[in-house]
Amino acid sequence: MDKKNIFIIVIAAISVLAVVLVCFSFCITHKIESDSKNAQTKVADSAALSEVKQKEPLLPSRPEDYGMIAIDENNAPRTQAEWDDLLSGKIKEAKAMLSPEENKKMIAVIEEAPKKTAEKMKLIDEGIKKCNEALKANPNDQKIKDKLARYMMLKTIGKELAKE
Amino acid sequence: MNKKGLALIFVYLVIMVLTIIGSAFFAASITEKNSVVRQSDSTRAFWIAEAGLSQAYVNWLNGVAQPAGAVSFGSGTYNINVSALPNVTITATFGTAVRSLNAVFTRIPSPFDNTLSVGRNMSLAGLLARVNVRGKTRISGSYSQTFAAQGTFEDRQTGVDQSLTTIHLSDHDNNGTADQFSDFVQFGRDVVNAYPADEVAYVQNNGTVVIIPNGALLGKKILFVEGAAAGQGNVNIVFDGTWHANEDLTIIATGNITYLEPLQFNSPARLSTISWGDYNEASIFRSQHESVIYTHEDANFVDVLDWGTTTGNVISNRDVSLLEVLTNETYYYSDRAKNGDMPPGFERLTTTSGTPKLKDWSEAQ
Repeated sequence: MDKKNIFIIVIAAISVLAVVLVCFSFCITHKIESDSKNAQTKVADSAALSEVKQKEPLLPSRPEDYGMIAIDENNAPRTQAEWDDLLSGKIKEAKAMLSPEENKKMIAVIEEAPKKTAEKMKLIDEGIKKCNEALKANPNDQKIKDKLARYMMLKTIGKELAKE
Repeated sequence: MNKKGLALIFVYLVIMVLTIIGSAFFAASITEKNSVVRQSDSTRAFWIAEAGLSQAYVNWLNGVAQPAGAVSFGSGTYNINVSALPNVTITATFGTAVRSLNAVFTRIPSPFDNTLSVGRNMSLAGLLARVNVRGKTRISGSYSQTFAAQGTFEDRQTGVDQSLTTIHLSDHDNNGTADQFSDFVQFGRDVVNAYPADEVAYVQNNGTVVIIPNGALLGKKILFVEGAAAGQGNVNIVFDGTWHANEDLTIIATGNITYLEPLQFNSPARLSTISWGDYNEASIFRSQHESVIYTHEDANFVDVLDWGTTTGNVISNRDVSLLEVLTNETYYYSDRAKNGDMPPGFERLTTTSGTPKLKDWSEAQ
């Protein structure tokens, strides 16, 4: 093979390479363009999708799924013992979740005046007594019923939080 | 092949290579031009969307109806979508480019200027009752206290217009009448729908649910307890000492909400409430919490047997009573809501008066 032929082959190879590069370049730029156009379409699509999402029907969960206690009017606790049964376990669980720091803060609050806590429990007992007397006179007084329930719940909370 | 023939082939090849390279440069420049045009169109579309947002905000402020179709602007167009108010979406086009912006148009209701907002009367009673309110107390009716009670108010006004003390529900169920129980139910459902599914809890219950903040509620923004009728769907919140810092939950209930022993230690966590029925709060140990309390009915701070501190805003459309407060209850004002950091769900308690605000501006992704 003489120098002339080699020269022709090299030039031909360069030409082929140039053609391949140009094709490759076209492919890349075409892809970039189509990606860019698609991205713009997606913005409009996502806005439409979010509107559709808002129209989905609501499905209620069970209160128990979120650690809640559901009380019906018919099975509502009436006595202190019933409130203790209902709430003590859950409060104990909640106390166990406290970090040492949080627990320390809570204990400090409760123990800052132990005598005062005993006095407050006594006040709650007096309140419960007054409510019960008022209910004897008017058994359907809902405000008094609610007040009695609050006192009983407070007493359960107080007893449970004050425990070591 | 002689030298002339070789030279001719060489020249042809060189011309071909130059033509191919020239074509490549030409194609690249066309692509570059298209890219620049698209970029330019996209930027213009963005600014047209901005203009549309400004126009929509001005229309909203002035009570002008938003245009129904595409509005021509700067050689492009924009569409205003206010079907999900307070969420607004503006979609603008210029050439082939489309850009969308989201924003929230809201009015911070006037009661968020106050620590205590009372739609009717406020009364303070009880042996050794001490109440201290920092910030503004605005009462539309009158204020009264018993001989043994002592109220200290930094800034108290009575007889003020109800638009400054109450929030009434708009016609959420589109039945032509606002501020009904059915509007409250629809309001709650709209709030649940507006938040991601993993941030909400939706419960239907006609009795009472007792909530002790726990791991299952961490990260939740909205808890809606829906009863079938007014007076149903009550909530008792018990001992929130386990509430972690930065938690921000709003409990919405169609019935009464009773918050017992609020021991929320971890600032800046909030546990706020929205109720169609009364709000009641009671405690036996020194307790403190940050929250925004809104009740469509009465707010009663009762059976408080120790120091209680509430930071935030209390908004009662009717009466506020502080009864049997045996030691001391202090209310501090928080301007978080006023500055736009509304507790979850409250952004939908819109009013026609109050401080207008455009917030949560962002480009649709």
